[in-house]
Order: sequence, then structure tokens, then C-alpha cells
Amino acid sequence: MADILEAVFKRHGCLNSQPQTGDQSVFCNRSTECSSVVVAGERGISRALLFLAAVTAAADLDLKVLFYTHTAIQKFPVPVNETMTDLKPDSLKKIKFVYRRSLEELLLDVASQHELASGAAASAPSLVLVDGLDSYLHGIGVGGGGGSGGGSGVGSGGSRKDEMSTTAHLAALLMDTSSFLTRIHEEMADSRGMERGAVIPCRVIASYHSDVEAMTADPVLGVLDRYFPTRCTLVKDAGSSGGGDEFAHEWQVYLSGTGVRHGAANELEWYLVVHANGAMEFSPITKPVAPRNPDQQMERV
Amino acid sequence: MSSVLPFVAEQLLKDIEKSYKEASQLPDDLLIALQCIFGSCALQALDLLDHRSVTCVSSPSGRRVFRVLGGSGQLYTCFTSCHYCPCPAFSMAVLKRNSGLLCKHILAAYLCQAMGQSQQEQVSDQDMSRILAGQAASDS
Ligand SMILES: [Zn+2]
Repeated sequence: MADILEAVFKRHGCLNSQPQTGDQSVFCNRSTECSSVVVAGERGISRALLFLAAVTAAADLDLKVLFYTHTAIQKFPVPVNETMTDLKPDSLKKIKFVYRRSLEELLLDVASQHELASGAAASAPSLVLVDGLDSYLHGIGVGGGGGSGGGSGVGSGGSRKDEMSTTAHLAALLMDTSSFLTRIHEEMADSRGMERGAVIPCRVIASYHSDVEAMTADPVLGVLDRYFPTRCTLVKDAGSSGGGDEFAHEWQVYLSGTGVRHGAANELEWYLVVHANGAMEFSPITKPVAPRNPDQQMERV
Repeated sequence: MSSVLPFVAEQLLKDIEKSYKEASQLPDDLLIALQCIFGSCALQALDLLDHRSVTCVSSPSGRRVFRVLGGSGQLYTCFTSCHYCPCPAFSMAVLKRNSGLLCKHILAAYLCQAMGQSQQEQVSDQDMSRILAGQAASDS
């Protein structure tokens, strides 16, 4: 289940439920395999959502966050002061922004996380965010996409196949790295005599820019769905009223994938209003409750 | 579509591990089950094992990854925690056509793990990073 995203939705919206700093009850599934998410939608809104996830994870959940981005963030894309009135500058220090221009640089940086993490678990991130996978992946087949390194099919031909293989490599490396970082956190817990159950597995949330019409036929997104158990799709609501605010935009937010099915039965559809000042407000779209599958109930006992 | 093994395949690998520990060989029924689940990959993967083509590479940080020497002499870095191999068969059959679970290299890495047969190699943390990123000197 996309538990961190769900905490974000609840925190910034009509529910406005604020967990105590370091509150772990939001983590409904303690496995890396089920908790990583690819966010698909327009670039601006996806980036804003990742940013909101970074701030919420750092400030409310007390997590170390690693935020990869293709282009430098000049200013915060979302004003967070309104919903997070008690935000301390110190909590933002838990977020490490890393600018990586090319796919080769990104791959090498993700691949070298084990060098930094070993022996210093305190500095190992629990949330890895990658803003704009498409910026790294698109055009890789055509002339190498700005990198000179010859790695795993990068820049060797320009066919869709190479793009799919490279996408798989990046996604698999992110997942393998998050498993490794989770293991580092567990070993650290062992050495401190803490329960392993208290360890928060490292998650990955990555954004991928795609038009809604192109999503079903996009082979790169198909590969990402293979590796990321949950997809969060953002669809702009064309005929929206903006809740009386004429400059506001409205979005439908859908959670789908195997990660959702394995999680607790929380809201899978959300309504998002982005106000003129950029503030984001989420509310769950409630549907009539269908009788629960008895197997699922058994699983949750 | 998934990047992890289905339950039935996982169970089979456990059976193989147990049986190999006890008798140091694979009984026919497990060989048949292996072919049932993985098709032609199964024999090709066992062939890679016979040729000692699978190496488990590890570094001081504790990070581990499998490298498999393919028939063409190409060295492939395979992830098993979530399936990935840079070989053309993985791209075509698994990613593009979605007609297989994995390629012979990933299966060979799984079987090596189960049968405790892989070659071991220690590298520096920096070399491990380059191998994982697909940017090692040995990647062509
Ligand atoms: Zn392969």
C-alpha cells in the first residue's frame, strides 16, 4: 500500500490528520516490495506531490529523505506553511536534494548508496524520491542522451527495446537499493537491541510524466508498473469548478496495482484541488462500500 | 506482470535447496517441475551451472549481486531481489512480450543460490557501484 502517499493525502486536506512526529502507525505494510510507488501524470503536479511527500516524510514521520531531480528546484513548488504550521527548518534538513543531469549519473549515484550507508545507518535514507524518470529515460537511445558512459544498452541503437531494458535496469536498481537500505536499518536495529518490527523499510516514490491518453500504450510505463507495486495516476478534471476559486485546478488521484491489493482497505481514489497559490488539498472520494472479500479479511486478521 | 517469483516457483527453489543439501543432486521429479515452470530456460540455466558461469560478487558494504557469463562471452549483471538482466532475451521475452518470468541467467543465479554452487568474488565498494550501474570496465 502506498502508505506514505496516503499519509500525505490525509495530512494536506479536509481530513488534516496530523501524526505525532515519528508516528509509525501510518506504515500499514512493513515490506519494501509493497510500498513503492510510481506517480504518473503531468510534470508539474507530479513534482509538487513528490515534494509534498518529502516534506511530510521528513517533518511528520521523521524519515531521512533522498530526493533526486533532473533540474534544480528554485523554489518550493507547494506552500506547506498553511497545513504544516509547526514546520521547523530543522526537519527540512532531513531532505537531501541531489541533482543528477544524466541517466548515467543517476544510475551511479543510486548504485553507490551502499558505500555511504554501510557502517553509518543513521545517514541511510528511508525514502528515496526520483523526480521525472522520463527526463532520464526519454531519448536515451538517440545518441546516448548526453552521457558518455557505455552502460547496459544505454545509447546503443535507439530502439524501444533499449529504452525498456534501461527503464527496467533503473527501476530494478532502485528496488534492489531500497531492499539493501532496509537491511542496513535492520542490522542497525539488531545491534542496538531494537525489535526488527520497529524498522521502517526504505521506500521509493518516483514520478513519470505521461499524458493520460498515452498511458495505456506507453511501454515504458508498462515496465515501471512491473517493478513499482503501486501506481498513483493523476488525471486533470477538465470540467472542474475549483471550489469557487477560479484559478484553482482539480485532479482525480487513483491508486492501483498489486501493492494496493496487498494493503489495508483504505481509500483508493482521492480528489485534489490545487489552489491558485499552489497549495494542495486532498479529500477521499467515498464510494458505496462493497461487501468485503472474506479471504482479504482473513489476511488482515 | 511482476518482477518477483510467483509462490509456486519460490516453493520449487526451496525444495531444490533442501533436496540438494541432502543428496547433492537433483531428483528427476524436481527437474521436470523446473522445466514445467521455466520451460526451455531450465536446461539452459543448468548448463550455465555446469560451466561454472555464475559468480556471486560481494563488496565490504555487504552488497551482493550475481554476474553470469553468457554463451556469447558477454558478462551479465543480474538482480534477483527484483528481476532484471541486461541480456536481449530478458528484454524481448520478459519485458516486451511478457511471455516469460525470467531469462536463463537469472534462473541460473537462483539455482546457484539454492544449490550453494556459485563462484565467489570480492570487489571494492566502488567497483560494486560501477557493476550495479552497468558501468564497469567489463561491461561492453
Ligand atoms: Zn539474461
